[in-house]
Amino acid sequence: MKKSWIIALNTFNESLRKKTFYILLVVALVVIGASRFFSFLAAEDELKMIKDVSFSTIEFFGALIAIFTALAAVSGEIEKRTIYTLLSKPITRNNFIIGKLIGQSLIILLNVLLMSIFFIVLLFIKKSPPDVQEFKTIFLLFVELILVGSITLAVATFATDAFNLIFSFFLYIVGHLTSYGQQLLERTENFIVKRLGGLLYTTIPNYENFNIKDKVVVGVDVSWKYVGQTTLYGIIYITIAVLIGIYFFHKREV
Amino acid sequence: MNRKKNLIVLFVALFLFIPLGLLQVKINYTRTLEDLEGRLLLMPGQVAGSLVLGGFRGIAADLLWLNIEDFWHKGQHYKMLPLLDSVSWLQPQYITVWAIGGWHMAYNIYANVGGKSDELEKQLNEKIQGAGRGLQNALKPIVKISGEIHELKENCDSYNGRGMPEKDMPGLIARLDNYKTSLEVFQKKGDIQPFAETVMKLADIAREQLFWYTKGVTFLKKGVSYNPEKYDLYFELGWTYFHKGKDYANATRYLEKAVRFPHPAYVDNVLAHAYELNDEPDKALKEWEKQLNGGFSSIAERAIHAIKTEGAFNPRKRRMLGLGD
Repeated sequence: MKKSWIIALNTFNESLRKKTFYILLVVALVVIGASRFFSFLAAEDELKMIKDVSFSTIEFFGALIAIFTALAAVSGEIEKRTIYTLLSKPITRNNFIIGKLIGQSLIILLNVLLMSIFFIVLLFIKKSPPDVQEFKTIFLLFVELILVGSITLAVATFATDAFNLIFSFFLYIVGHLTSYGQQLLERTENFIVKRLGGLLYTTIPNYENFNIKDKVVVGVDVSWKYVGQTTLYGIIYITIAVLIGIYFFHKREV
Repeated sequence: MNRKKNLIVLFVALFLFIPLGLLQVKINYTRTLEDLEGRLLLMPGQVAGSLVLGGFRGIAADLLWLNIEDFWHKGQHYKMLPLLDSVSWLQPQYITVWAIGGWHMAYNIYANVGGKSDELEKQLNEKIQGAGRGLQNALKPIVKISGEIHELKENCDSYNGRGMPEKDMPGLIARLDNYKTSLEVFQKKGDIQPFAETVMKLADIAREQLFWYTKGVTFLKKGVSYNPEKYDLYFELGWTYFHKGKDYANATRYLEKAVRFPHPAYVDNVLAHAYELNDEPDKALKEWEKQLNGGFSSIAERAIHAIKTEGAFNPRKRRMLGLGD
């Protein structure tokens, strides 16, 4: 675990040195700040807009940071050939993948924290302090972003950066639409399509599980039970992604 | 790690999809129980857009809301309708969109549309006064219709009017349609034609006002169907019937539903007034009695006293009974 932690800290520091992280973070903060321009609306509408824009920004820019960090985590080491040094030391490939995941999760955490603090300050300025529902939303977004990053990391162990980038974005969009796919499947009578669709529905990450922001902004209360179930879903899927990553990284000739 | 161990890792990864699938079933169940489902309606032509919006429905709803504000300020009311529908499709639990949409239609657009008739009536009267005696005589049937339309509108709008109860609505629409049919006869008569056209416009405006009021009420009812567990839209609907439509039967119906859920004290207050205007003084008394210990206690005391001694407390009801304010 100590070895993984060293890799994690190294990944974290490496990501902090990249300009992409800061550019995305600054743009995200500007977008969140820009939501204050809706002050011509009624107070309630303005507050809803601030929340909508902030949550969506945390999610979207968080996903960008998660994907780009995960992309650089493996291919960066291979390109710079530092991976040879790393793996020749008493560091296993398992340590490497787990360390990379922890490292990128720390970067995601930092990014979510900074954006959330900015968002919360905005809420205080609008004299509407955040309640527990807002924190639940941010927490589930954080779990979602780690999942996005872990899948990108897993794919990075066997695919090229270009493929991984397209695949990760595609999966991000499709992962938000699986529930609609399931609705369509329920109406299908073809057995094969139904089974195949069911299989896809289970294997494709259901990112919509983590999406409670649209409900929270309109005052729907989300239970801790739901947060717990969804977090468990995220943990299981992240584990699957890490295991697949480990499997392919062992097969890779590095 | 040898090949065998690596295969075990893969096997474990694939095995984990089983508890994941079972957990997803539980999550879906909880989402249904807690009303967290997307409920995004897939409309023809909107499917692609709606799908891409997947995780960003709130933002999409907000952008459409900005468009609604824009159209409202530009007076392009009809353009607001599909947008209001779209926002409500994207976020049906966004109560504000139903409440404000219904209010816009039943109150603001209603008043905005009706405002045009004042200018038309003024122009019509000036033209009639400027016409020769012969023409004035020929215009008498048109003037009569114009007066009746004015009276109908006054009856709908004024404080002491009959309002627009749902049961009277078909009759009101039929009357306006009949006026238009009667006016068509005058359209072919040279001098009279412009006068007839103006009065037809007045009938159209009155008809359009009724349309917007009905549309507002329907919109609120749709909102209620998506948010049946909160007092808000029952109250908005009840208030629109009570205040705008003077439809007290429907007002009490929806306000009674509103008070079943946690609600502010003023909802009980409005319900008590609605009972009184709906000729249900006993229920009004009971409702006021419930409020004796609340924030409206002094009003409740006066209301109970007035109803018991004079038979009415509500100013409109008192006026109807010929009592002083």
